[in-house]
Amino acid sequence: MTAKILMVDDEPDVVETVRYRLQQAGHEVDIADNGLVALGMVRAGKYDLLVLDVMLPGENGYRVAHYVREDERQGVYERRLPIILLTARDLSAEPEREKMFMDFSGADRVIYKPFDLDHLTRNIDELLAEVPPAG
Amino acid sequence: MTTAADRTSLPRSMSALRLRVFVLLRLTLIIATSYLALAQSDFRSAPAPLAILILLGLLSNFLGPLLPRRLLESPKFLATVILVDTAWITVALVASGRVSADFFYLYFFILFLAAMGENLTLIVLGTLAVCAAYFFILLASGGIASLLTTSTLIRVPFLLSVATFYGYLVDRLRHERQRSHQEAAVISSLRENQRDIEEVNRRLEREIGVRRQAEEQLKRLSEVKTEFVSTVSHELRTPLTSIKNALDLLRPALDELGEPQQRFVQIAQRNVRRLAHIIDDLLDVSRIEAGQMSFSFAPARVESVLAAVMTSLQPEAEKSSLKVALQVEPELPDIWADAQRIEQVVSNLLSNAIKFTPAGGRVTVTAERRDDDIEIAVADTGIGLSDEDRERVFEPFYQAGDSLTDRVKGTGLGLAISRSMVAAHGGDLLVESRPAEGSRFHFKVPAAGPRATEIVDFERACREYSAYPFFSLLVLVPAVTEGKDAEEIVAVLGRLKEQLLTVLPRSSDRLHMQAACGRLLLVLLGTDRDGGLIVRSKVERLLAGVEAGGRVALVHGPAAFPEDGRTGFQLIRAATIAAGRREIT
Repeated sequence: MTAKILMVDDEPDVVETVRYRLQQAGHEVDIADNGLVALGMVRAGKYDLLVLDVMLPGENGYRVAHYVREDERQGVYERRLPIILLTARDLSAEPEREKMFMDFSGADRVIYKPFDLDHLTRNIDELLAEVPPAG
Repeated sequence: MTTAADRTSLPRSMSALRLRVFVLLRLTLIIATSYLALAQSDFRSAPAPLAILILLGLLSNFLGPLLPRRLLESPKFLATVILVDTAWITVALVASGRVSADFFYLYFFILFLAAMGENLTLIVLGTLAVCAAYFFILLASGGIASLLTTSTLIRVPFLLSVATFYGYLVDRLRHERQRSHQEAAVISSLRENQRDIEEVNRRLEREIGVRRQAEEQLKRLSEVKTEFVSTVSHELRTPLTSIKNALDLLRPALDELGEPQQRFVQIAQRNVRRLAHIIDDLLDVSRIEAGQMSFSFAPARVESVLAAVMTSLQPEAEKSSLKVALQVEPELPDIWADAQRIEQVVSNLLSNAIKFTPAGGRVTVTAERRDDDIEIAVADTGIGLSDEDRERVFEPFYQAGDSLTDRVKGTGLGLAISRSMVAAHGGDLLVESRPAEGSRFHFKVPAAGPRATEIVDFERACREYSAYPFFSLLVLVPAVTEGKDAEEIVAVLGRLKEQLLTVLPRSSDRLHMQAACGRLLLVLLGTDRDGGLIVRSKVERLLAGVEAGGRVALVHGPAAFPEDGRTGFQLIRAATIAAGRREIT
């Protein structure tokens, strides 16, 4: 199953490796290095999935995801965009805060850095299986 | 020590004395005036002014008690009275009309003496001398016969009595003056004392302020430390992600590389994993220290927790050619635990066991019932621990064994973290070990139930206390707990709590009171040993009058835990032993 994925991260090295792996898996990957650019791209292009780093310059990942969900509530998009957050701030030991952030952002999954690339593709496949890609 | 009562009674006695003098003076005047009237040869021919004076004297005597205190206390009061009375007696003498001029002069001379004189003896002696001189003059001028006339015989005692009376008054005045000087001195020294006390109070308040500030600074410092560790860890994770991803992407190409190069990639991969693990552990430690690690307690099945660990570590065990066995006592009750944390602890212990046990050895994980607890143990037939290692193995960053041996090393944080996690469950991670024979790590987790909830709640509260650099923990063991049922003990504790609130700072947010395990625990935040001792003596004094009394023990901590590894539960246990009671089981 191939999909159009937007990857948002300001770390070129992380972006390069992730993109390589996703392209290997047959996905089409676009890149953004900050939240506002990403929001514009999400509004303009039809993406099947968003891979979003949390610690971004300007608007952070939680907020970008939150805005996307706001747009969805306004009916800007035809369908719901699955979102995976990437973050180095592992909050699994603080479940209350983790839940708070996840509820705010409305993201589907969170993956803590450093992560396994296979783990990421597995998550992507699962989410895509839930919502079939457009077209 | 001067009490407030002494201070107020001094002026009161002084005004009472003045009143007495005033009344005495009145009486003397009446007697003197009456005497002058009686000295007339014919009583009926006594002039009317004398009678009026006597009447006035009698009336004025009733005035005495009505005089306002302020008037009595005025320094000019007695002087005025003496002046008025001098005028009075003079008027009386003149009115009697039978006073010869010489007597009149003598009289004024004596008044003068009395006014100048400083004490009674001198005045009386002076009067006697004057009288002697008078007698001598009379004797010289009129012979012995003139001495024996009634008027002369009456005049001399009269003069003497007037002199004595004035002498007495002057004497009293002098005493009074002295006394008021002393009183002023006492009052000023009291004021000074009060100033000293106020100064001491101010200094104490300043000290308390400084200490509070220090406390807050320490608290902030520890927050900054935690924040720093957290930030650094996150910053480290981002480059680590790139390295790990890059290495992962190399994997399909490994076959194309030569044997040594393949090994190098594996080394890099292994060390990335290790680094990630170190960062995780560091974060855990800083979270535990800051009391930020949250636990979600729920009843958990022991078998499923342990089985999960076994499954995840089975590959490693097989790689090391070890036999790993799981023995769970049948029909174990559920434990009250954060299953994920207990899993982490057992996983830590098991991977250590696998690491330190040579091929062919055995590792056994067991779970057994111990009264109200479940004991979980991981035993191996590995290299074991020396006496020193056994003591220090729970210290952060301590690496057991000979540093020269080529052993796979962990972060040295695993056991420290595990111990803290076990402590959060109210237990203690312990080890029995002999070199070359193997080690057995074990800990108890309470079985789900009200007691477990109580223990765990207290541990959670204690983690909050640990944010304070100073605290004192008082453990109160009621005298009646032996052989009573739980409900009764709870009632006794409730009563004690109520009574304690009457002697302890009620409004203080720094006092935490909690009933746990049949004890009443009082945690005084921001209170060091001295403060704790004061509160303890207060509590002990109160308990002396209470039927359910009991004993109090004090444990104090300048941030004693969890930095030094002690947990709230261990503190209670130590304090309970100090209180001379059975250890909490």
